[in-house]
Amino acid sequence: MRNLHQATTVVASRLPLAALKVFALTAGLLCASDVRAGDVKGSVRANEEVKLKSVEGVRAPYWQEWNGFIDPKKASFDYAREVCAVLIGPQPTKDSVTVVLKNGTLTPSTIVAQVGTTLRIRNEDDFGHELVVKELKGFDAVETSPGSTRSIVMEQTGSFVVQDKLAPYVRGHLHVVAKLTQVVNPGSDGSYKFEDVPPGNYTLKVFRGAKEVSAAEVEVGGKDTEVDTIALPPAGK
Amino acid sequence: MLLSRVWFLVLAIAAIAGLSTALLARGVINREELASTDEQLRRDRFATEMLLKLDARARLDAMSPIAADSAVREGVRGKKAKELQSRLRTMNQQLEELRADLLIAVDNDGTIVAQEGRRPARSGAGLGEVPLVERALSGFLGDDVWVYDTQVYRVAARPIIDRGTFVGALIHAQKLDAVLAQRLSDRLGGPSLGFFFRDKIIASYSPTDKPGAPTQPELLAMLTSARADEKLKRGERTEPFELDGRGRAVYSLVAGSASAAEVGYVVARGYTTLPTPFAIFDHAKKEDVDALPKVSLVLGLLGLFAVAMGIMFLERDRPNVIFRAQVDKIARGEADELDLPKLIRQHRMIGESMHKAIDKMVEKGGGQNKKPKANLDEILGPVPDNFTSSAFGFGGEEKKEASGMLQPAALPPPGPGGVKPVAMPPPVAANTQGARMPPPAPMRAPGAKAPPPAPGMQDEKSVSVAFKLDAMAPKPAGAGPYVAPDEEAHFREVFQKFSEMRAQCGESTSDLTYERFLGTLQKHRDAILQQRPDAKGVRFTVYAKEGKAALKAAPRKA
Repeated sequence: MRNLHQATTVVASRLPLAALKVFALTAGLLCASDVRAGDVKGSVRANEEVKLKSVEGVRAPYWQEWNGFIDPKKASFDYAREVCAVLIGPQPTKDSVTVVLKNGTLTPSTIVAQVGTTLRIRNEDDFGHELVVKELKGFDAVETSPGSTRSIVMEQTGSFVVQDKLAPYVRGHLHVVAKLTQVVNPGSDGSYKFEDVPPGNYTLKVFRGAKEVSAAEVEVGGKDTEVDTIALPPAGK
Repeated sequence: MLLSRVWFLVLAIAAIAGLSTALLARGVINREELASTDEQLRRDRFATEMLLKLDARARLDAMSPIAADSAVREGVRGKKAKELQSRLRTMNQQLEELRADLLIAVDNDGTIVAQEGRRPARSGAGLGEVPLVERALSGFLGDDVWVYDTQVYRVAARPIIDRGTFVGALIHAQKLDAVLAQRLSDRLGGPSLGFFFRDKIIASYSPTDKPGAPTQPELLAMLTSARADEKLKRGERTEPFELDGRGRAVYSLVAGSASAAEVGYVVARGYTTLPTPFAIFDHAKKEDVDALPKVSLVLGLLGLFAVAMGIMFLERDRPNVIFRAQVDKIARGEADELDLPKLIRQHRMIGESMHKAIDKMVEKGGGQNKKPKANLDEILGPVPDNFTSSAFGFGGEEKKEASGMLQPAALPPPGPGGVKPVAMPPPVAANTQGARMPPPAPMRAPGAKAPPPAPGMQDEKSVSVAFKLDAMAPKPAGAGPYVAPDEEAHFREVFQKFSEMRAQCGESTSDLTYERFLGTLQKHRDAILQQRPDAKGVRFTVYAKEGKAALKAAPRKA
């Protein structure tokens, strides 16, 4: 910030007065906004043993057995897919939420969107999907072919289950809330960051699957805000 | 005719029983056929599951050499798409029947490196989060059923291991198609089999060598109902559905994730019911005919025929012969009338009518109907004139009682006062229907013996008896018959029994008086005593013969 003021002084000595005034005004505005915005950082942590996915509600296949040579790999917790953190404040977002169908799954599978915004579903798989939310108006079972994107406007609040009529292993949870400022999904290590959050009081909520696992009040000032690590409760609890 | 009527009744009962049995058998057979079909379908469904499981195992084993192939391993590790696809194609061809319709190799992240049987995958497309592939990448092999790119596949996957580490996975997929349906049908012994995806039959097979095997449109017709079945939604098989009255079908979802997309299979079998009892002949096979107890049936047929012939002989042929023989006797002049008691009822009625007709003809021709008025003499018969030679057959002892019957005989009425009765010719037979009298014999002097009976007119069962005329001579008027007191009691007892017997036999007793009865008994008593002077007395016995009251007389030993 100090370097910015020095540069301003140097340039001012060389430019005409009018240009100097415009530049000074612009720089002042920049400085002012820089002072008020800040990031909110935090992390989540899951301590449970992660199991391989299974498909619920279907007839079990006939065979599943160890290869007989090498010990099976252990699955890791996919924070980016399983967890969603949202910041709810005075400035509602107007951004749409985009989820991707890739590798035969929905990423993220925990989706939070503000009512009235658009949910975009992009299919990057090599086969079609047919997502449906039974209780949500406008979210009917329509096939999304490979490479295409489907958009649905969220018209009501609530928590919903997203299902794939063609591939039952594709499953997600959609939370439609009334007001939303920012949405992030954690990285592979569970850390997340809301960038350029205007100063003010916010509510930080963390969702995992169908549940809201954490809610905390966060005050954003002129600097970055660090939030305590949130321990995720085991799935199903 | 009674036997034949009973026989016809037996035949009618047998016919109704046979028809009832056939109708009952039809219902039982139809019900058993349905139950058998349902049971067969349950076994078919179980066997189908076993065969699909074995099919999955076979595919898992068949892809093992491909997963272990060094070129495949190197191609996956190095993500060499072209080389890998070429190698996959070559090795897939070697699988023959188990050749994959879709063979996919993915790297350790689940990204598709190469796939055979389909256009090249989109760049970056993967399957790593699909449970089957995720498990294969983690070291497990397994199977599943997928709806993949609008097609339904049965899928198997196993890890690709190179240099001691997992480098990827191999995915083998075959369509649920008519080839599989036919293979399953052949192994199950011929049911119709189809695969459905939601409201469509995507593949099916109906055996052509099974008449009445349900067709694909019939399988489709009940699919909507089957999809609404709660048992199907729970992953169980449905109860058998009726297919237009000619087949039964059970529906079941497949094992694996595609079951959530309503992918399943249907097994159906045709059945045949008997619309009528006679339809059983259309369904009888050669072995059924061969198994019939032909000898017993033929013997039974012959036995029934013999019974019928026997009854015909007894009730038609034999009476006809007798009737004809009697008519022939009349025609030959050996008899003047029919021996009605020997005839059956119908012939007897004919004979009576004939007799009446003859009487009228005689009267019209100026003759005299000699039909006598029935009296006790007719009942007791004429007094025998010679017991020892009489066919009356008195044994002479009370213990050896004569079997001769003093029964109605066509006697002429007693002559007017002083006129002795004539000796009677032998009666033709006991005539209970007003039998005609034979021509009266010429009058004889007292003590003269009766002439022998006319040839052919004597009957063993109806023996004519000759009585001494003087024994039958009426007592002088006013003298009255002599009756000892003990005889009086016996005669009254006999009269009483005789009256009762006549009543029991349905005969009239209106013209029966004790005085007349007594007179006749005395005549017979006197005649017997005259012939058997050593006898102490005569005992009369009442009995019934051929439905008529009759008397027997026997001398008592002194």
